[in-house]
Amino acid sequence: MTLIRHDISRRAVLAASASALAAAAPVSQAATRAHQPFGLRVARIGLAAPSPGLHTTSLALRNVAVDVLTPGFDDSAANEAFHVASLAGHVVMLDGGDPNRIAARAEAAGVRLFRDHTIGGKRLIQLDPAVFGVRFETARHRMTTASVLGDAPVAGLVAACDDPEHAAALAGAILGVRAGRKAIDLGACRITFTRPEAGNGVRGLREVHLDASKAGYGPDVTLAGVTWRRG
Amino acid sequence: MQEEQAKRPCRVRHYVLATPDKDFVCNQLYDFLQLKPTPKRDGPGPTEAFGFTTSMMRVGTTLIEVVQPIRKPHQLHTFFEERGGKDGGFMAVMQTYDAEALRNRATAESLKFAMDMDFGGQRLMQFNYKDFGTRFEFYKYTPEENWWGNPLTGPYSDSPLAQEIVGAEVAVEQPTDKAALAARVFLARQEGSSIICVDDRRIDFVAPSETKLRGLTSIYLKARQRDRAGDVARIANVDFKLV
Repeated sequence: MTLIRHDISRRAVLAASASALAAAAPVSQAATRAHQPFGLRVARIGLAAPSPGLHTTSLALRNVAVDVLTPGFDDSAANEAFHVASLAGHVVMLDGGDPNRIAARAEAAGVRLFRDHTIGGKRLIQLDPAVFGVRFETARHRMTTASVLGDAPVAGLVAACDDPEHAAALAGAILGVRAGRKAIDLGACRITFTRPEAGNGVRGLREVHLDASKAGYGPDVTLAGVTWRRG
Repeated sequence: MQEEQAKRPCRVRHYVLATPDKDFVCNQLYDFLQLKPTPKRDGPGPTEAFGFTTSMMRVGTTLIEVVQPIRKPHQLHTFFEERGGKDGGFMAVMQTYDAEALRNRATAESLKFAMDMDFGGQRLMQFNYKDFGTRFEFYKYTPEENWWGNPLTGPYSDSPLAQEIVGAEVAVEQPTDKAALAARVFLARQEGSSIICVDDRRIDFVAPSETKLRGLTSIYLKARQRDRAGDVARIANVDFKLV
């Protein structure tokens, strides 16, 4: 049974190190500059509710909202708390799933929940990033926060993890979506699992692929450890 | 003076979670409480000789300790086995100001300690978990305000989410009887049939259920933002409830 709608909206959260980005410019300025080649607009800059310790810059895409989060305190140790010891995207939020059913499937599959929170009476869960490279998050309420959506559709995401085939099979079974050998299909967006690059070993969300049929995209750009490229 | 110490109510100092994966649970707590990770000390920790590793963090004046066994057999493995392999709330650590008076009150109630020994120069007395649902471990602290985990001087950050740990819930059979017994032995104030107040903290005793195995099941945190009251994070099968 498919728990996630084909018109699902998704929000990828890219975590940025305060020390890495703030060294050159405030994160909001860095994000604005970095996404200009793709014609994206900044939808919102502010504090990430309900976490007063985080600053967020939301980028607007057609079907996905991207938040760049920056710890509000400039301390390298803080990055460990957000699982960003190495720069990479760390959360992929999925709207439309049933957290209770996904949690039950995760438990049956032996996958732990990194977060199991009830916020405002509604359940929010995140799957263990050790398995998938990213934390898949699903909640009872619609997560999209960007009030302005842009023109750039996201066609795919690439997540680095230790065992891509295992991750794809488990993600498909737990999220209730179609799984290929190393990828899962979320309607218009495909998430591909890959091994960490030789040398850096970084796990997490590493690439965002924008729809290649759209003209006017510039060269690849890397923001907060995530490379944006034409899909 | 000694008579006054004997009458001083006991005090909650910290709570202990037990897990086979300490790093995972600590990261969950850091994430929820928005704490900076507590720096790791160089070299082996003080508990490794006893077969487990430990990490501490602080909310207000109360510590949270996460423990993981590093050898078998160990009582922590027994704890997991009794819970079907699940991690969970393992212990409430309390402070007594007069060990002998506590011992006398326990004896008067026909209670026996699972442990009554010197530990790190302190007197440690642990009640059998079957008596109160979870392990209540008492110390006579010296110095009185800053011993295990160094709550006053340890390298802890302050949680932007929660001001203090103001209470806990323990699931145990016959919760009303256990609350009355705990009130007598811990010199606590009983409120209602199954709530005791220790100093300014409360402990609710409730009946176990399918989703609440016997033991330490919830920890109550005073939210800094009032609109977060009611939010809950389940970590290591313990509900961290913002109140």
